[in-house]
Amino acid sequence: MINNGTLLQNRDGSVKNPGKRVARVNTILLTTIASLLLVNIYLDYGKPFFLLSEKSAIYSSHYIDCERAQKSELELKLGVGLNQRGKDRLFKSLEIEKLSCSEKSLLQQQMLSAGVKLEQVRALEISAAMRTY
Amino acid sequence: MNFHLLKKCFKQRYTISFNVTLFLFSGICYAQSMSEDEKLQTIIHTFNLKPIDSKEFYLSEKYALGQNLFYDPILSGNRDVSCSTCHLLDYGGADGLPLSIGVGGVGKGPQRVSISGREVHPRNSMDLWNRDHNNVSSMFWDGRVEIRNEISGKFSTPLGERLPAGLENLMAVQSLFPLLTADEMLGYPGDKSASSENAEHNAIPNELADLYAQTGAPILHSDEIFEKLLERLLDFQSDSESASWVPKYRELFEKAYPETADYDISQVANALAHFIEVAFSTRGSEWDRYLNGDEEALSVEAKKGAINFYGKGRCAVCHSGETFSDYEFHSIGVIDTDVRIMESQRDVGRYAVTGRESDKFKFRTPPLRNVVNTSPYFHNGSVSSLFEAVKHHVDPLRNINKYHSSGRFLLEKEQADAISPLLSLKLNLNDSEIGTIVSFLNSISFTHTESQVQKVVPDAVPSGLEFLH
Repeated sequence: MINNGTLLQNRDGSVKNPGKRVARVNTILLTTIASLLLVNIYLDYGKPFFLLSEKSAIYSSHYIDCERAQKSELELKLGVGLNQRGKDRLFKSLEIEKLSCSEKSLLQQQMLSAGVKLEQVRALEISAAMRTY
Repeated sequence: MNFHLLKKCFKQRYTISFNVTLFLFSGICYAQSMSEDEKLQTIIHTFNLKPIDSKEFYLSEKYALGQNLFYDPILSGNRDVSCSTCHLLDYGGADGLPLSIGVGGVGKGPQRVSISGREVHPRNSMDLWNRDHNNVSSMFWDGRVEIRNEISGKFSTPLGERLPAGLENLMAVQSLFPLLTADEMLGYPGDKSASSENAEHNAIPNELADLYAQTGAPILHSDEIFEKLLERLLDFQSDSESASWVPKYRELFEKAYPETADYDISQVANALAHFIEVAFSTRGSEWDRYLNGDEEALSVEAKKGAINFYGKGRCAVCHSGETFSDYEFHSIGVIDTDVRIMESQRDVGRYAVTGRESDKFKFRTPPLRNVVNTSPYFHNGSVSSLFEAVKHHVDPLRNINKYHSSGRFLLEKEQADAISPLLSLKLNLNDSEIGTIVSFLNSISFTHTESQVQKVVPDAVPSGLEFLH
């Protein structure tokens, strides 16, 4: 390579501008850093926000259903004037009702792992409880 | 920095951006809960649900006899009411009225009115679907006809020891009682038919009702009434042409029971029961098809309804099994009719049969097959829409401390205290969820095809009398 003042000339005669190359590398680096920053902002704030907005209604519903099922189970264990077959069916119904508890837990884990804060989940639960009771 | 390596990486930029997108949105994509079908599979497994057996439409000689007896008003005292008067296919096997109108009425279904001035029957007409199912252990809203012992097959009925022998099943036992009930089919001593049709029959006195004129209690004269009824069917002595039914019924009995020539009321009851078992058997509802593995048989709304029915609605605690009833007795705080409230004559339900305080205001859990077609609902037909009937279960205590226009409480304290603790806890169902349950109830309904209706409803009956169908 022969230094020709402002340009660099390759042995095959082609000419390259070192300033342009540096500028290109800088652009790539800057774009990468900006993208990573955006991704980081999205992961920290955007994704939890969107997920929380999308799932808050269904989570609240599962939460209330689950709370009711657990409360009912305690109350119904005290006796409901049913014969043994009736009681068996009642507890089967409660098992189905409590599917909402597993769904609630699953959703909660997914929200937490996506970056939703535990305080936000608790706030959702309190708000659902206040609306219902 | 190795520029060539960076360049190589950027050549894969599309792959990378795809992966990044997947990563960014993965939180939303994988947050899926159980599908309706998965939940239903859990329900089917937990409750061990099975489709109901479909009965073959086998038209035997016994079926033919039962069919004619079911539709023929000749069985009623004044020859103007048949079983089909209150059990119409058009109304899901019931009559569309809040309280049934047997004798003294004119018209069909909800248009039927009482013109006799007498009190109408105090209860809503029940449908007849699948009453031969093994789960069925009692009949009528108060269960006054029931199987006392499943092993020996002994029945408990208001007839006690007078119950005729030879009755094959609970449905046969049940079918005798409308014949013995004044406001259903038997009629009152001295009354003439309210119907202007069948004039020649109206001129004939009600010889069946005359039998209990002295005591006022038909049940005490059951043997005589049954004997007279058999005589009317098979040995009627008259010069009039109307007796032409006798040879026809003789032929039907001979074909249905070729092993004997000695007929009694049990053969009438057994033939009626056989006809009802075959004609009123639900065949292939959407829910049954779903249980048989056809996931497309149910709409999404009905699937959600089934989940609510078996889950948070707790409906299946009492409406259980293939026929959706436990055939037990519960109080759900149904408001009495205006007349009963004003006269302080509350319907005590099961208590009238057992005399046990704990049975006060309890009624038998109604089976739910075809329930969408049997409006109005409850033992007194006080609720006209199925949605409202389901909604009543959500909070039956809401009527406490509310007043009737007469100034009396809608629900007496005693009635409120009797409400099942299962319901007094208040269910967690909103209107939308109740709507899904109604959709599910639609999916357990069944309607006869045109050809099946032709197999059920006869063109004419041996007596030649007009009948409702």
